[in-house]
Amino acid sequence: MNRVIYICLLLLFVFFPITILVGGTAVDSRGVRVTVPDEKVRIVSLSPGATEILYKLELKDEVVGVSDFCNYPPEFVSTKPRMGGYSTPNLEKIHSVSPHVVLLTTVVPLHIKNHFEMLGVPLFVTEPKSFSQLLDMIYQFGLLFNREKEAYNLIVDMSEEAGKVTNAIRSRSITPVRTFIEIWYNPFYAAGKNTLAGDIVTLAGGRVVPEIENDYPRLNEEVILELNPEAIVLGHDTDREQFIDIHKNVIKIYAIRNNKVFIPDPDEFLRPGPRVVKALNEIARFLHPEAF
Amino acid sequence: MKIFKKSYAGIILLCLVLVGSFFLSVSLGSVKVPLKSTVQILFTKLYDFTPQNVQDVQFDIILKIRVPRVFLGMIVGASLSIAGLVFQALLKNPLADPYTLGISAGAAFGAGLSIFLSYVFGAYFKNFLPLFAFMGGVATVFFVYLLARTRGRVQVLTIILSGVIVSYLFSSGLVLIMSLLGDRSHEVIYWLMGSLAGYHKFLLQAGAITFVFIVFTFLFYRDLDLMSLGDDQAKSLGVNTEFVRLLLFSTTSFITAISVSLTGTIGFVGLIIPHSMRLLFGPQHRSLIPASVIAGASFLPLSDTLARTLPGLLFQGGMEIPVGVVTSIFGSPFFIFLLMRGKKRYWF
Amino acid sequence: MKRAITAKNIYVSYNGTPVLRNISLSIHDGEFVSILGPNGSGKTTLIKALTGIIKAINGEVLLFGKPVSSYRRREFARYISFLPQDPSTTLPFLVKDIVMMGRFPYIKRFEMEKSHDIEAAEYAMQLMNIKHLGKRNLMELSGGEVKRVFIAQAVAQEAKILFLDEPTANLDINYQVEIFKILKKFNQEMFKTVVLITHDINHAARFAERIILLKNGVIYKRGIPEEVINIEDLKSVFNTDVRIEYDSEHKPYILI
Repeated sequence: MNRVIYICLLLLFVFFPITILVGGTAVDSRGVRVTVPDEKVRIVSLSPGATEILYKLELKDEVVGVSDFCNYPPEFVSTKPRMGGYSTPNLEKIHSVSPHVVLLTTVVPLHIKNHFEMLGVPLFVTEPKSFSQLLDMIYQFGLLFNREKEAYNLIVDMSEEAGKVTNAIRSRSITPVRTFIEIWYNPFYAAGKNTLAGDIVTLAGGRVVPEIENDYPRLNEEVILELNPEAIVLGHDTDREQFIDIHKNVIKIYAIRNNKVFIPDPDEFLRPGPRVVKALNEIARFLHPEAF
Repeated sequence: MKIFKKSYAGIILLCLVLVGSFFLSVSLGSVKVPLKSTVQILFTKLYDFTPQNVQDVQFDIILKIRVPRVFLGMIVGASLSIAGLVFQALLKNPLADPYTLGISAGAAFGAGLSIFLSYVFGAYFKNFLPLFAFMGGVATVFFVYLLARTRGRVQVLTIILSGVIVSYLFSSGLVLIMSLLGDRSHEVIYWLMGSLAGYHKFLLQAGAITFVFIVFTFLFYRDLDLMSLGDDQAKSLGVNTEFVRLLLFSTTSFITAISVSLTGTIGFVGLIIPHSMRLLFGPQHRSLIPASVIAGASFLPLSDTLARTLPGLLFQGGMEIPVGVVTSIFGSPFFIFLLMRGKKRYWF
Repeated sequence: MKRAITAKNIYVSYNGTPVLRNISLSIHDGEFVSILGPNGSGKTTLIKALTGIIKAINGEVLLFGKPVSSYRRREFARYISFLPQDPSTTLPFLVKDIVMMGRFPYIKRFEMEKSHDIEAAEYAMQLMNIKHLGKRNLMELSGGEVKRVFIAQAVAQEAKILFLDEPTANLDINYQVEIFKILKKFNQEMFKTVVLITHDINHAARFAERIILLKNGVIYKRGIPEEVINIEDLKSVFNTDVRIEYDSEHKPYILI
């Protein structure tokens, strides 16, 4: 895993000089190229994670609208107009602030996308499915908004934090813990390893189960019993009583019997933003306390 | 008991309501656009008039966002209302509307299928979503009709039963698709909630087709009146009951399918509007059809305006309530009020 | 005499169960015919077959020599009207609306009602003495009044042949008499053909020219009242003993 981070950094060093020349343009995960002005750009972020990143990239006034779900940092988002949800954006409000770009980390329905196109509002869609893809997203934002330096700094910070964690684990040659990432219950939805959450857990020294291709497979309780994960990381909030109740049929699995259940802050864990490293840290300490 | 002694007066009043609904809906929204500007912008379109002090953004909001949205609301409101009215007359059942007959379930299934195929075979498929939804709706009608045919005649009771069965069938199919889609199923849920948002390329054409079908249906107002006497009597008076039923069933399902393919499933309209109009105008379809169409075309944009603006006022958020929620919340008490005012009890 | 309606060897079934078997009959133009028979003998089915509401499986039904199926519905409705046993509507129409429905065969799809239509409707309401009920809601009226409204509808239809299924069932005696008198008037003064089903043997005997007696889906006997109304045949069909007397016009009437 460390290798991937180092390669990312390497690529940055190599391409950094080139990017200064081009500036103001980037390609999103759909392959769409978006260009925005260097000065006084107006950004609407419909992704809570992207909002946090923009803040870190010193884009304050440039953010002219956030989604109803953006909540961090509180002092920052409370001053910004609310633009609706990510799949239910309020086109009137968005259009009234004449943004140069709207940031999304999920796909919108076709007729909404068409409406944006018809109004001439460009969308920038990124769906990071791993930590390195998240870093790349930050890099793209840096390119797009003329904040290469800040993006570079953020990436380096995050990589260092991540590196500390992965080093600690690697140095002890610890076997990965079979971990089940529970995104939702009734029915149970897991996160596969090809998701951001899955990658975080992998970096934290876990082996994501079930090992299937789907991003968010739906599982019945039998499968969970069969998998018998050693640890569970929850992607949703719950208290102890509710947890027991939800899992009463699978209470016998190793993770629950041995109390290896951890609830990171979902806003930190699941959001493609700067705070995933905090979640990474916490999860690693939870999975491999002996390494720290 | 008719509240409107002369139907003409009532229809004219409804037309005024329609115009009022249009202006209100176009003037209100999440973003404040001064009334003066709105009026100027609308006149620009009509009279080649240059507005003063109007920003480009306001122009877009009114003409590219609100007007198309209100127009869509009018088309769908009218379609669902006339569909409910005609189904209630043909099936002699006060609860008949596009939903009980499975058309919406079929159209939603079609939409879900296209979303599913777009993930399996390529996003290309999503462009055909309206077409799939439409075909789903029409297919349901055929299913229902075929199921209900016994010995060359269609019994009324079996149509309703078939509609319920087919509705369940397609709903289950939709749920299957949703579970296969997994985390992507929120797009399908979006469909089920119904919404007037978004840009639809063939909106004008859909409106024209809908209008033509509505006019066509109107020509059968007498036949619809006579159907209430029962098939045997209607036949003896010269109504070609089998043919009329098949024809109007098809045309009404057609425009319903168009509506659902544009907006997803919006409930309640096909029930509230026809029943309210019956209480106001009496049972003659000569006045009921225009009344329902105009009332439906006024009601839905107004409900949508509430759905768009209320969250902004209450929660400072940008999200809208699904329009179907508004139609239920505000439709039902209104309906109860009408019931209490009307001295005669119909169908209950 | 011209044959108005002819049935040739018709068979009718409901859901596979045969109801009428090998029925052949003729109704002549201007006749007053009554169809009698116990419950379940197929009287209503026979009328529905003759009026084209139900299709016969075998055989054919002819109207003025042409098969019923060759007529368009609207055209057919100008010749034949049908009053069911329990006429009703699910919608709260006004009396005048119901009567005006009888004009449906004459009004084209794109047209409004013409003055003749309005006249016909008003005449019908006058005849049935319901003009004062014109603006009332059908659902408010008594059984007898409702029946009269629907008879008015049939009158407004200006059909040549009237089929009526138990027009006087459940009505007060004054209505019963009145309706039969009106039917007689249609028949004698307006030369309309009247075919009616009734349970009241005496009414049939008194007013009808011919009686068709049904039993178990076949025609048991047909002929003038004096021929058909006799102790043996009635016993055979209705399984009951009756006494028969004759009135001043030599028409039979039964005493139970």
